[in-house]
Amino acid sequence: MSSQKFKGFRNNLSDAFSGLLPTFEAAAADPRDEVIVRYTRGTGKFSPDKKYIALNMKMYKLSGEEDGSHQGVWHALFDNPQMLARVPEPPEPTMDQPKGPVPALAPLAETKAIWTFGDGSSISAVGPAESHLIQLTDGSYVFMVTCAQVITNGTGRYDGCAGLKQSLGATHIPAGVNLFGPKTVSFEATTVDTFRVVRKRYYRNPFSSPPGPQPSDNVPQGGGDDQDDGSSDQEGISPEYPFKTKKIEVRKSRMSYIDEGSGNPILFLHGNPTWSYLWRNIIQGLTSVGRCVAPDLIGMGRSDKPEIDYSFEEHYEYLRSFIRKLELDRITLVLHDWGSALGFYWASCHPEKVKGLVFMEAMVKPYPTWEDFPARNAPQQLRDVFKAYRSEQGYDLIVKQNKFMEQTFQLAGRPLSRKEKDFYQEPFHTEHSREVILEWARQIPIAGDPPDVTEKVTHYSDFLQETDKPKLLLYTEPGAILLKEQLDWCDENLIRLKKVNLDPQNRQVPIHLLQEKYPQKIVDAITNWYRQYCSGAE
Amino acid sequence: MATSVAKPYSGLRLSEILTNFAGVFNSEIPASKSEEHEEVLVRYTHGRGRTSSDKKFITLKMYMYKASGEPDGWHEGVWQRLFKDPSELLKPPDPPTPPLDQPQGPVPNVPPLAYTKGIWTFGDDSSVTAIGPAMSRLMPLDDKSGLFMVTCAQIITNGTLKYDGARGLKTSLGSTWSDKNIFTEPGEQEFEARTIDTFRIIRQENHR
Repeated sequence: MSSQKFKGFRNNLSDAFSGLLPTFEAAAADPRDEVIVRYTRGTGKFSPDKKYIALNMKMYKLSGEEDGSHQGVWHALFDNPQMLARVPEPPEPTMDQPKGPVPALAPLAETKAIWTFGDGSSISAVGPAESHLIQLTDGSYVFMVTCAQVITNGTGRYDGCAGLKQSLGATHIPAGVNLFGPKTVSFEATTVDTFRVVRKRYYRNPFSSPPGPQPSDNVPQGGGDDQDDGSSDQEGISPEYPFKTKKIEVRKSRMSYIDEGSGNPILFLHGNPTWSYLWRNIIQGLTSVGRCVAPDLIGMGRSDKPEIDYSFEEHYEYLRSFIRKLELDRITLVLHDWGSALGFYWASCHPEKVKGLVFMEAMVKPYPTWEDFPARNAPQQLRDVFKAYRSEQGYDLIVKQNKFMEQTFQLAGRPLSRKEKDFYQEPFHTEHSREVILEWARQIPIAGDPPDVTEKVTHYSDFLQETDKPKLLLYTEPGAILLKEQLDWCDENLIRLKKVNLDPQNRQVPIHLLQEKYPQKIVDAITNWYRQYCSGAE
Repeated sequence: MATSVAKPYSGLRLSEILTNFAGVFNSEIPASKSEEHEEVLVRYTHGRGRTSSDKKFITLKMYMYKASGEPDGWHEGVWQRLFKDPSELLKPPDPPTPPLDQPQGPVPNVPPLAYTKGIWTFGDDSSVTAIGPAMSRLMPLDDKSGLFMVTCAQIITNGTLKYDGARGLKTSLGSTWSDKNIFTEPGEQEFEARTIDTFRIIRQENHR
């Protein structure tokens, strides 16, 4: 194959795969914060006095597709190359408080450079650098440079842009070659370059007349040249968590909660493995209806993670104390998943404080046998998965491999964006933090196990059948844990029940995170029901 | 006489492209390794930042992710400012002057605007700690909000578990959006932050 044909083949191959590659969209702080990652390969050349290095590099996207070139100059600020072998003392360990000491490490070099992309647009930057020389076991060396650079200007699509960038380069020096010896040395080099760029049309340059936004401009997605992996542009769906949360001490730990709006409280309880983030698009639509309070259950969300066993009983005690401490009364409960079990049980013990009950994808009664979980007509595969979770494999699957979270993402009714997944996973980054998810899976009252949870669920199930509190059931068909069997049971056994099918088009895909698919419909349904059945009800 | 340790460069080989694809899925960039024992890792982090009340320090408490979005531990760090007036963050340096392709000056001297220290603990509890100078910028946006950015050039000082005794360098490039100036608002200020971090690491068993 000729070199030209091979180059074409190579780039076609890169194109074919590039859409599959992960992106760094989630690293953007704002859609106007364009994050670009490239790597470069080429040659470096020392000046005879060893004070300067020039790089002449080809630039590549992570897919391997060529994307222009990079040139730059490194200027040494040290006299003795032995400075490059130094390793500073580790810093003092306090990293989680905004205070010193922070070691003063002076730059060993200064840099200037230009990166020219495949379309001819370019970015120039200058800034300080650190350098390091590491001798390997075979006597060769790796020479590394890291740069913290300020973008000074750009051309093409980056004309008038602003931002920062970083460059992290390395070159391997074979044994016997003295990089800093008297001879002129050229060497093979590679860098990884990351850019955060704000383009001119979004940048209000304080030192020139403001260009203002161009109505015809499309706002670039964070990640710049990477693909959109989400669908959170649907009406009423935002990935953001715009709340200033509060904290309250409960049983010597702090519970985090959203507290927005005014009026009688509407208490939102999430389930497993979510947190108050689940309710973000619902709460914003209901603050005019009541005071929206959404705690993160203990060990979840931004609440503390005390060393407790995370049984249903423990969760309940924290929730009970939370409600008592906030002195909530005349509460409308909005419940999902395990939040339904906690909320129903609390309501059954404190009916005098309850105005109404809203529930979706809820646990309305225990599961007498495995064949009843989550319903007799549910896929056997789901039972098998939960049997595995509750077996010795459960720790590996849920804690080590994070499978429960991944499985839940599949039940959102739409592909969640990277940002949304990040938010959901925020509290569960370490294996230890995911143990609460495992425990919840093991607390589901199936075939009488665990007995205490079975007893409590039976207790509130009886309460639900007796109470005349107004109830709103939100659902789709099929649900993931609330299926037709339970819908029929609710129809037959619950009084003052209003049911709203959020998607009457008979869907084939079970949806558990209804809040991610139908936030506006949920807001509308709760608003209408509340005004009809709960306003003024004491 | 010049010594060359560079091979004629002709772009990536097919095997390198495929290897790189596999690596990028795991948040590594094999195509940018200078040597087989060098690890080139990229992670991004997302979490909260908090200023001290005197605005001289910022701490970050972040969750760390691979490029695929898979959670991979956490990051904490401290930024200490070296500038007096936050308005210094508004103006970029002058563009560099040519040549950029020859090993010669002038190279502008741009003093660091901050010092940093941080720890990055990966999902398997191995960690690296690093310190280094940083540049920072405030960028007003078209809707009167703004972005505060930080870029760090850091040297790895130590590590734990698989990175015990490791050496190398790293970079961190962070950003936060705000509709107010965190340096002029009174008291401690909290904000959401995101960083992208790149590491070049050589483990202890591979260096002298």
